[in-house]
Amino acid sequence: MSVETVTTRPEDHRIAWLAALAIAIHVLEAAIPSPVPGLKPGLANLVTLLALLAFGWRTAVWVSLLRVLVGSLILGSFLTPTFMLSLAGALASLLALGLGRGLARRWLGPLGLSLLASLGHISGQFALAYTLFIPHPGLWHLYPPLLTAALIFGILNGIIANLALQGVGRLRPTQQETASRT
Amino acid sequence: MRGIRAADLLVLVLAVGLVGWSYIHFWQREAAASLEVWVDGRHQASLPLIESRTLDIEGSIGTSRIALAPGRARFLDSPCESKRCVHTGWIDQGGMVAACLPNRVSLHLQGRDRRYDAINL
Amino acid sequence: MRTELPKHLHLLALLAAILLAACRPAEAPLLERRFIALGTIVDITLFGVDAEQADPVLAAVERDFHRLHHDWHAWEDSRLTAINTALQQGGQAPVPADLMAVLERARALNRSSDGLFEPAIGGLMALWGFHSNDLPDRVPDAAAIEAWLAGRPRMTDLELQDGRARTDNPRLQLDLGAFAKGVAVDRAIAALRAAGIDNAIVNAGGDLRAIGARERPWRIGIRHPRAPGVLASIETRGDESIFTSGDYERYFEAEGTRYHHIIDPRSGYPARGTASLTVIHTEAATADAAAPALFVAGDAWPRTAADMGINRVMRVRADGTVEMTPAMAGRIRFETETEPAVMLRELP
Repeated sequence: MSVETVTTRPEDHRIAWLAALAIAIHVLEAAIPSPVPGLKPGLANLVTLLALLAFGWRTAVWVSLLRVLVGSLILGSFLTPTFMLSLAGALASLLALGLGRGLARRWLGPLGLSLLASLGHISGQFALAYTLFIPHPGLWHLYPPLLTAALIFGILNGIIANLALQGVGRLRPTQQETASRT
Repeated sequence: MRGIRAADLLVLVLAVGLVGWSYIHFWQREAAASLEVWVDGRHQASLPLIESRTLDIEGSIGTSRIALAPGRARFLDSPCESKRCVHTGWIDQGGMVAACLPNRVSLHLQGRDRRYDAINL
Repeated sequence: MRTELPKHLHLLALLAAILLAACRPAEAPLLERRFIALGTIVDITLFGVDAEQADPVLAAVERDFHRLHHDWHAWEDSRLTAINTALQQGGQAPVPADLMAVLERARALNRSSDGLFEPAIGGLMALWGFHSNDLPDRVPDAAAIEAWLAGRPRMTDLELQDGRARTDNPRLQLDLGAFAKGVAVDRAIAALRAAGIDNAIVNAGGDLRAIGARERPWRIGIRHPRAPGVLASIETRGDESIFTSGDYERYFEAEGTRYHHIIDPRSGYPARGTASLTVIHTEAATADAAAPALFVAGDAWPRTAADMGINRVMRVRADGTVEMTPAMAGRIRFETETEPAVMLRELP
């Protein structure tokens, strides 16, 4: 019997840490009671966004999909409608991010990306809910208010992501300074 | 604010536009917006359905009295014998029709986006 | 944002303008004509034609409707009432060629519906008081209905040959009912097509045929049989007629019971169990014969539909539940707040 050694790269560690963080937020958000079903601040998406901005597309996709998968296993919702809605949101959000990055990489900052992600997320969930679960036009009456919420949380998350990046930007030189001093 | 770029604002404007559009598109009342009155095959009047009022229409055999209300309309009285037009009651969706055939007066509701091109009665 | 704010501002303004413009789509160039004929409002809607091109054919279509009104009216003086009188008195009557073609068609549909579409029912309709512009207010004597049933006339009693109609049954009275409207709608569509008009709806009091489309498919609302407003909608494809028979169209109430105008020729009384029945078919005339026939068939409607070659049917039962053929289910979109219970029924 041969023993396979799994070598892990620094990137894998990064993905694992970020995914763990996103999963923790995902589970916490699920525990917080919401006045309207489906209304969440989307802080777990914020982790995906930061992963994209700091480490690139590959990391963001891994973090996002791991969050949906492991988060649903922890909550016991794997393969239930909740899981499928969550996955549809994550995929639509990634699609929107990918499009944004692909079309306007240089001009698009955290705010724009965050908005694309949050609007994509809720739209993807509605599209799936309508085609799979509730094919009734009445469902779309819920869309405008939830889209408004997505707009607001998208802006807030964008601002947080922006501040976080600037924080990282400020941190790096200091780290280098300390490193050079020692 | 630092870190906000040109395309960010563009996305923000588009996003606000999308939200606004979603309310217009998904929350619009499907109630009729205006009433067309036809007398003997001729388009006599187009009336907005905003406030409640009554109106007299001269038809072929006499006067039909109609009621307008926000988003709906009906016959109140007509010089016909059967009064089927009055029994039709309120019509409240774009494409719906109420008519007094003996007096050759018909009411046609026009929806905001003309939701139905015709109604199968 | 760094320096080029003014430069981007007009771009944003332009975008906002485009978005606002997108909210209010321009009115589609629809052309509409309305007139009263065959006891109903005839509504013709055209897309993508200008008035000058359409005016001559619209005038011709309107003339044709008025002519058919005078030919086919079931109780006002018409060529049909003249034939009815002649049949009653002498057992035979001359029939003009165009009316002959219509009667032959009606007889074929009578056969394929196994007698449920019954144009020979005029005497019974008159007995019920539906041969009047006003609604009846009382149920006829049971004995009178029994007497009609005893000598029940059928379309198969009518012999059509050499420009003449003959029958041995003096009770046979023709009433083409909605079938006349269907034939008229088909003729109107043919005339519009011949004039090069490919996108149109001809709607004779809810009895309609749609060809082509506007900038989107034509959208037809189906009336809710028990509430004001629309039950469901259908987007037409290509060339389709949609016809609904409902117990709410002409009815009166006596001692708490609703008596409507769709009479079952087998019992002599209004057919029970169905609130409305909608069919989609290519020709309006066939659809107009099929809807009342399937309405009368009650729970056995799939058999009648199969016999008549109709595969898109929706039946709203008197209890509010809905039955549909699988082919219809793919076309119907409910417009009510809560969707009714739907049962799919395959044709035999």
